[in-house]
Amino acid sequence: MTFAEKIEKLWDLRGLFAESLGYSLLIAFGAVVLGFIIGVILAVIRIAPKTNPVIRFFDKIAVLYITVIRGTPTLVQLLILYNSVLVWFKRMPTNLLVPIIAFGINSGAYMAEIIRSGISAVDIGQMEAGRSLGLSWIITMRRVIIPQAVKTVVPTIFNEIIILVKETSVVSYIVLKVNSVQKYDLLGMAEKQGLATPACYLVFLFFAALLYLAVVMLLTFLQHLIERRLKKNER
Amino acid sequence: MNGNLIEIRGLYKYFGKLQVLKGVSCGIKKGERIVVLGASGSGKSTMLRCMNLLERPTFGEVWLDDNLLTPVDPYLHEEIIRSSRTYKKKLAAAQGKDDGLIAKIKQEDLLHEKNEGPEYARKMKAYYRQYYLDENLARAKVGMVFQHFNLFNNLTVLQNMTLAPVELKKKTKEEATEKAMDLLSMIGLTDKAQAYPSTLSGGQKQRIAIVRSLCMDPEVMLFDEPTSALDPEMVGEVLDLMKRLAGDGMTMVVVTHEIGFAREVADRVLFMADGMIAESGTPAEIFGAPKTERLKTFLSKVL
Repeated sequence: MTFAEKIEKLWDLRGLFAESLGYSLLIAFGAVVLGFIIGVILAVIRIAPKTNPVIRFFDKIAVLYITVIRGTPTLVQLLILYNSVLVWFKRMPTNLLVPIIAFGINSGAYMAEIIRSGISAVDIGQMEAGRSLGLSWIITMRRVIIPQAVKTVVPTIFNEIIILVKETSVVSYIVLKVNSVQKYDLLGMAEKQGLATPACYLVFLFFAALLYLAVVMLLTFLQHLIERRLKKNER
Repeated sequence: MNGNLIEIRGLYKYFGKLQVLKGVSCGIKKGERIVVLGASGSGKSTMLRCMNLLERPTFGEVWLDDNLLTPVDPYLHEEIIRSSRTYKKKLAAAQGKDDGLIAKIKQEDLLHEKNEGPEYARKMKAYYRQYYLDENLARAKVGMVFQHFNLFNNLTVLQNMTLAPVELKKKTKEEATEKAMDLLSMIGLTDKAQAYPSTLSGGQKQRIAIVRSLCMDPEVMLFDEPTSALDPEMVGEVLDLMKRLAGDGMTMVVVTHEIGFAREVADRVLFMADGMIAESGTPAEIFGAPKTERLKTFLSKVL
């Protein structure tokens, strides 16, 4: 097969690759949203003053969660969840929720640490000023601390999102279904087509790599846009 | 509560092993202007921060307007000590003779919250219920100005001022904005209403921090070294604003190193040393005729 023929083959498959990229992005997006929600909740629990036993209890849970999730490989977590807790989701005709939840749970632990560090980086005087005016801890958090934490946290959050987008490639280890039809993520598609046409395998892999790279560059652009936006707010 | 707006009683504060306050009591009447002096580390800032519970005293009570802000400190109430099992046991052991027993219990911290019996628990709870005021409600009545200004960096000057009154439903947005603009025009900074704190000078920040507190219509203002972080040329504008407040009859407690301000404005000066109020009196007494050695040394250094 000449190179031109390989490219032609790739061009024939463009619809399938586009679809698989769509699934990769959908999973990543869902996981980012879920991970962010989990992350904010865990971070707030970790940072809350440990004045009552309920908060102390949840704090212990949060620490355990973060330790376990950060301490085990994503792929292992995905496979364990796929075959245990999420088995009900796995059996649904559309099982995209399995990787979304698994990656969301994974990302939540990292996001929690990122957000916590962002909140701790805000000067303690800001909280004191809020409290001294009679605002509650929660309101001061929401109106003063978190908006400032967001700014310091944007670069690291994007770092986490970028890692997550690429890490979704491990879903090719499990069977994705949409309306009971098997579907593939970007890497899964490259693998599948590579098996069908071994001569083109490497080309497909490079193409997949190129698409991941494009997505990440887009995200980086978005990050800079947001950073600039947030900076403007200061002047 | 003998008419004190703020009263602190038997305040002790430990940071780990470090004893910062060692039994501080004082009352502040409405309209009184108190200046607190003392070397750094003498506990003056901690005492001030206890007054609005930014720091929680280890022992002792803080009262605002006849409301209790801290938990009940049993050692301050003999009738509560008398209801405790420890007291009853000791009394029985001493065949009913009470001489010095209460003092001994206070001294040696003999009460154990959990096993002093139902009568004690009931008294503690009843006292608490009768006088307790939620800390957020209390803080809304007590303005605080910090050494490092602590304006909210993510909000404009106007938003800084209207946030608390609007969130706490003390004022509508329109009322709060109107009040804020009035206050800004009083300090001549109306043109900064839409500016962010990072664009302001230290003196401007501190004056805005002061009027931000005023937006809550506080009954008393606490100042924690308000001029210590300022460049010398900006100290004057902040002190002028504080004098103006004093002239308007605001109750103020000011921790400062500005001796001139103390002389001119204070009704009463407290001198703190070693976590205690070592001496208190009018400016004339404190500066004219210091009694203790510590105050004399302190004054010789700062004057």
